Amino acid sequence: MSIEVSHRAAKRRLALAGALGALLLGGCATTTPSATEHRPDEAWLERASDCCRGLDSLPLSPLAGHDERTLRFGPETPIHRFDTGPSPFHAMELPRGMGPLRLELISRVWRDDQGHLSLFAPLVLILDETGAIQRRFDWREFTYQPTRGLNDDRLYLSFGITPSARADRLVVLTSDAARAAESELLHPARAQARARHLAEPAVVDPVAPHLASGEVSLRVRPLGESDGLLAPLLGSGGAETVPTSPTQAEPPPEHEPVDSAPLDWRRMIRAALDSGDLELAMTLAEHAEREGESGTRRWLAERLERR
Amino acid sequence: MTSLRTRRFTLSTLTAAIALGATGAAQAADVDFYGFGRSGIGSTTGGGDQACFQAAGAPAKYRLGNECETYAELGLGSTLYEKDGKTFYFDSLVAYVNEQGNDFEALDSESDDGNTMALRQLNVQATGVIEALPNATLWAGKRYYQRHDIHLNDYYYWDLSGPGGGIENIDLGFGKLSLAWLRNTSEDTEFPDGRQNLANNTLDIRLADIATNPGGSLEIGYDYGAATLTDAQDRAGIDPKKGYMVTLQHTQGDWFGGYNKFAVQYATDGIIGGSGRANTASTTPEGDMIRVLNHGQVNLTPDIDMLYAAIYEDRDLDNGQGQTWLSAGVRPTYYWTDTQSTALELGYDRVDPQDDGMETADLTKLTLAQQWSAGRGAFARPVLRAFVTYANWDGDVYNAASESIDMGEYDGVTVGLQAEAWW
Repeated sequence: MSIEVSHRAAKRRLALAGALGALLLGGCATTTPSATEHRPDEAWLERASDCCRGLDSLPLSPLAGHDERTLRFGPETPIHRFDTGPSPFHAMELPRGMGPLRLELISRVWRDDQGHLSLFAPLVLILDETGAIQRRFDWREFTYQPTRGLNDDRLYLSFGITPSARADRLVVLTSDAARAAESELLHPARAQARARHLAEPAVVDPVAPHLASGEVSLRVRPLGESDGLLAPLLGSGGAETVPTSPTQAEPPPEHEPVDSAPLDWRRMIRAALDSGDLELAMTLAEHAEREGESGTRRWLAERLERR
Repeated sequence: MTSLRTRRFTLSTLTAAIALGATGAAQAADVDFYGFGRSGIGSTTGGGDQACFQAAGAPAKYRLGNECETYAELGLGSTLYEKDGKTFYFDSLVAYVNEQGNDFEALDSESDDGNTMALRQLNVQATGVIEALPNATLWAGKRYYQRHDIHLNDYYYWDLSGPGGGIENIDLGFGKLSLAWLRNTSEDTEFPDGRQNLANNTLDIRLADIATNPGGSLEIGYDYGAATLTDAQDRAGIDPKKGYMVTLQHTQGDWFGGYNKFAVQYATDGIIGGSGRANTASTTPEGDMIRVLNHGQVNLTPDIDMLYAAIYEDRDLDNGQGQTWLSAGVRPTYYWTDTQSTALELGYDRVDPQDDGMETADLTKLTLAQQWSAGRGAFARPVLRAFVTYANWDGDVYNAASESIDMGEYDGVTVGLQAEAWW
């Protein structure tokens, strides 16, 4: 029996020694450099000639009230030297006569064949008819959404806007400041730990450098329009209550109704509040009051007090 | 340009931004729905339903193509209050399990089929409510508490989950301190009362996030288990087997695109058997246990990653019924595309009883699975799998989940389909 005990004790000491040895080795472990440390040469951006003399002369493409497109950025894209630095860009003319619109922009993390990550960090400008900047969304105003299913890590921005003389054009670009930064992504092992309520492993999260090339998905819908699986159950959305033509040539005066059909102001204000766009909600309330929907301002104030 | 790259947009910044944004958004929709589920169908090639292969006495089995039941967890949580850096988060989770044998399988626990459901989480976590400890979280209720597992074989080596309360993430500057009191009730046959409940308490002390080397950190834990006896239990002469467990765990976080965890655990008496949970019943054998394990995930190439694990556990019990468990497994996966992959899992378990008169049991399991997943990587889910599993064992018994393997057989093959998701 004493031999057995001593044999087991020896085994234990061996295991402990192995454990401590491995721990020490772990402390000296060398690991491969992160795949995300790769940053391709972007000298093409500095070498590119300026396409335009100013914001008022950026080439425009028309945007429809229902629109989905992928904006690709790279050496083939027109480049302008903005105040924030040179950048490839896309400039689009916002459709008049559609009422308020909801714009969604998604910039996905790109993974190349070698596993290198990169991200286009967008800067969004709203220009008036003269090309002056009226509204700006920095890339930091995008929210980070980690990988979920087939949806890659992404930056997401959603905002409402009513096309008008003061909100005439949309420009998507990036900036020197955005490219100087990088985004830390949620490691899949952490995501799994959060979903399963496990202790999160102290894993180093991957980092995506911000590049001047990439893709941004743009989606345009009338504000308040329901879509997705529940749309048939929820009934018609705001778009159906604003029967206008996206090809309307002459925009209406800013303070006049876009057409004779009644606008469901409160539905649109609710949609603006639901998306957290208080500024748009207040603007819509002002519009509603001018259009004779008295009490809308008070109704909005009451809703805000309840929140 | 390089000199400009001085700022990094970190997750914590993003989380804070999202939280701030959410404050102004519709609060009624602030409900987190999360969970886990796996289910499927399988068959043993000799006939019958799917057998699952686990070495006799082994606390775990390698899981790919080797899970025979349907299991689900559905959780709902919500931030019920958020103001001035103070948050109150309510969390709840119900788990369901059934044999995966029929369409209608009641979860009433009234039969011996194992079909049942359980309330596994219901707690409130309050963060920032102690002015001096703005990052600390006070909590109480049933909770999955800082669980550590090996995904490859579904083995939880440090898991005190249960009803409890405590405070976690106290920032000490060099690490984060967590204190908790948790409960796992057991029975004691020495107690004359019909319910025989023994209130086992575990005091859990953890110091985590201690930086050791670049990309590495250490976590130290101490669990002390004891029971508080009623007067009747005192009079009945109950002799609770107190025990403690010490855990030392090193995590290398920048480990070939993944991570490596190395842990050493030492436990005594009433805390040996349950990953840190105490069972102080009089019938619990005394002794001690040492466990050494190493596991993790690595990206071998842009198209191949691998989960791996190795475990050595020695339970030396005074009643001579201890055992030594040795386990090792790997699961390399090749990704053909972002949605299609082929996984191979090889696992080996060997259980050597402390009693020399008992036979050593070992089991080798090999699974090949073609997978279709929502994304690329070992942790991409949901996933659908078509698998074939072969197992070979030495010893008269193994833990089969089916009658499809006869006593005396020494190998088996199963085929099947499985879906798995977490969100």
